Amino acid sequence: MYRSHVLVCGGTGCHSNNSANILKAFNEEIAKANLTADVQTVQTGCFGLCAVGPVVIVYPEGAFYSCVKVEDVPEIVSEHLVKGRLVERLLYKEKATGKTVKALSETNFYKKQTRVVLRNCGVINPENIDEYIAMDGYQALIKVLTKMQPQEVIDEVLASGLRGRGGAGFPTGRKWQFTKDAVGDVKYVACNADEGDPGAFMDRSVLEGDPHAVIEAMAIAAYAIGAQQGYVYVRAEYPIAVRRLQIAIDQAKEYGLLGKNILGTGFNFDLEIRLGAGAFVCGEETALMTSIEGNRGEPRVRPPFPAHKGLFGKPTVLNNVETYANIAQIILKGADWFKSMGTEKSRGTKVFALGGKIVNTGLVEIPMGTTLREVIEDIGGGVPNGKKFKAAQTGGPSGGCIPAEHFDIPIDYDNLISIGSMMGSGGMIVMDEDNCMVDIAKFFLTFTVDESCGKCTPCRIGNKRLLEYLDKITSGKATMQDLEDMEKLCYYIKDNSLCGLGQTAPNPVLSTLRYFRDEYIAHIRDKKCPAGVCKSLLQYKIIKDNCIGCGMCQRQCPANAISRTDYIAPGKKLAAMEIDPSKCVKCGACMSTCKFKAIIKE
Amino acid sequence: MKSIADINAIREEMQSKVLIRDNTKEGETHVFVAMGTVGLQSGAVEVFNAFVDEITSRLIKNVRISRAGSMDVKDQPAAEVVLPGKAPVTYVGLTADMVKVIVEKHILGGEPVTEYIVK
Repeated sequence: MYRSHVLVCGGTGCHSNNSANILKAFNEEIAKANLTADVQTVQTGCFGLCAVGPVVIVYPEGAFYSCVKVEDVPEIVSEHLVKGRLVERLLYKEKATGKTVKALSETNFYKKQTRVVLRNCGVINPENIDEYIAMDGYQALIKVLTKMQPQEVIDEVLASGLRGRGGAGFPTGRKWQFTKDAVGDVKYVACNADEGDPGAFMDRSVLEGDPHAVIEAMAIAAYAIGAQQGYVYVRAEYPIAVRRLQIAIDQAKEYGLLGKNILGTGFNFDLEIRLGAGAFVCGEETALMTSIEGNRGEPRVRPPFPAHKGLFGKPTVLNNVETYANIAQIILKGADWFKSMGTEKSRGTKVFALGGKIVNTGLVEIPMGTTLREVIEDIGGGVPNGKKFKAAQTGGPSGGCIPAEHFDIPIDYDNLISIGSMMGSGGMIVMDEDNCMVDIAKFFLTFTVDESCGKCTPCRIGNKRLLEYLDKITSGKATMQDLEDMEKLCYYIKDNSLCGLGQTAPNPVLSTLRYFRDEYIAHIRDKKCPAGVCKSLLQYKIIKDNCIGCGMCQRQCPANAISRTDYIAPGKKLAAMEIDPSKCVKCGACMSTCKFKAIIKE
Repeated sequence: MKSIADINAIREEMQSKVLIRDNTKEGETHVFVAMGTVGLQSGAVEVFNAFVDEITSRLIKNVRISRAGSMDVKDQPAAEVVLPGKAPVTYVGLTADMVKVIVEKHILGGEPVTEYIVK
């Protein structure tokens, strides 16, 4: 019997910060202290608060140690585990006050969250099926197989109001119903784990932290629609997720939770992993299935929809990882419980990956209908360095930005669409006053241009042309006519592209145009970048009266663009410096080295 | 290959092992075991272990057990039990058997075990 548990985060963020060695060090130190029989070390999935990783939690106290280094491990073992004294300097700052450690659920970061999808992430060892079973794992599958008819399962999912978490928000129950009703002897279930949006990492974290939840849900889906084979399509760029999922599948097979005659009920279901090469377009459902079939990942025309003609031409249910992660809970706790969270048309919770200019970078799960303000200010801790919030980008390269004026909008599928963005898979990138919105649009468009599969012309050529317009604008060569033409092109691409990638690619441009048209105009008319990002429109200047002539900037300049003038400012002893604009490469090295605020960019 | 009964048996067995990782406590009861130098010398570890074993094996939720620093009482090992909204109660001279009584009567029953309380 272990009396203390040391949980070390093994999510991708903490893992890349050496958490594997931290775990090893714990094991060594615990052995040295003769505590092997009393203390259990566990590698878990993501805790969510990636900003302060690597994270270690020690139970039963629930002490939350942040930014732990390998060198800190002996101290935690000898002080906390042996002598019972918390190592206060490592405690997460919000938890360090007072005699008791605040429960994690009481900290600002967790207080407003509702963890349904992420309930086991950071709690159980994802490589140990027994711990998942302890958390009521596979109880939903048992319930379904022993007490429910396939139609009852679909009715429950339908009644819960669960909508697809991959982006478009199609009701999951209806998708299942279509596939069940489709004519065909062989049917498939598939899981879309090809998470490709820049800044989104929730599907990866679920697979890394709670892979059995996905396996269980896929088995339930298979029972509901009458399938016997499933595929998880996951990118090879997620090695930890792939490894843990494979371990989980092997364990489930060993326990008879996958395979023939599951739990003696006569139901057969097998699951395989298919690795993707990391193409963004393979997150589109038809391209994904084409790729599983072993062909080049290109989309095809819909209809026929996958529910009728999917994998290998057979009826197929394809859901996203996060959607599946809700299923077992809905079956166990009932549709009414699920419906009690969220808004009228968007039930349940949504996981967001907070990134960009925000204090608490990480994964958060909120009930639908939470306002953007609560997510960014209360949970996310606001914008760092006292900067002003400018916009949040949701939906990645297919979505749009939400400006500060919509700060109080409740987040759900329909509200986001009405303001020109979308839920997407749940990446949320926060931007402050130092971000140029034209540059942001260019960033996302560069991504989609790279990732366009090239099958249809509007996407392949249209987006390339669109990017050229943006290049022209950010280099100060565009005219107002270009702006007009560019907007027309956006709608042309949206209306004529084959798949979701092309149809949504112009969204970042359109939404920044909608809310920040003045920035576009400033670039075109005044040849200025208001945020000071677009290099071709910037000029570094020395205010001679502030310059003491120390020459630091001259020594830092990599282009020899700075020289001394004859002018000595009043009260200064040395002659001021000046920048030759024709030589300046706009690296900003002079500005960051000047202690007298004599260098400005405009 | 397991049967449904096997899965349920694993669940029963494992639940007590992961119970102390419960983070969703609301209005929880706190138990502090004094683990200063004197406490450690006089067997505080056994008392701490007894609390954890008793709470987890009986699947009692909403109790958080903490190792605490030294407490200023004579008869160690000592522990403090704080029920939500109640004043702390300090027990002294504890043994593993006394812990069982405290869990039963005080933590579950809500009535402090007066004979163990510091005089």
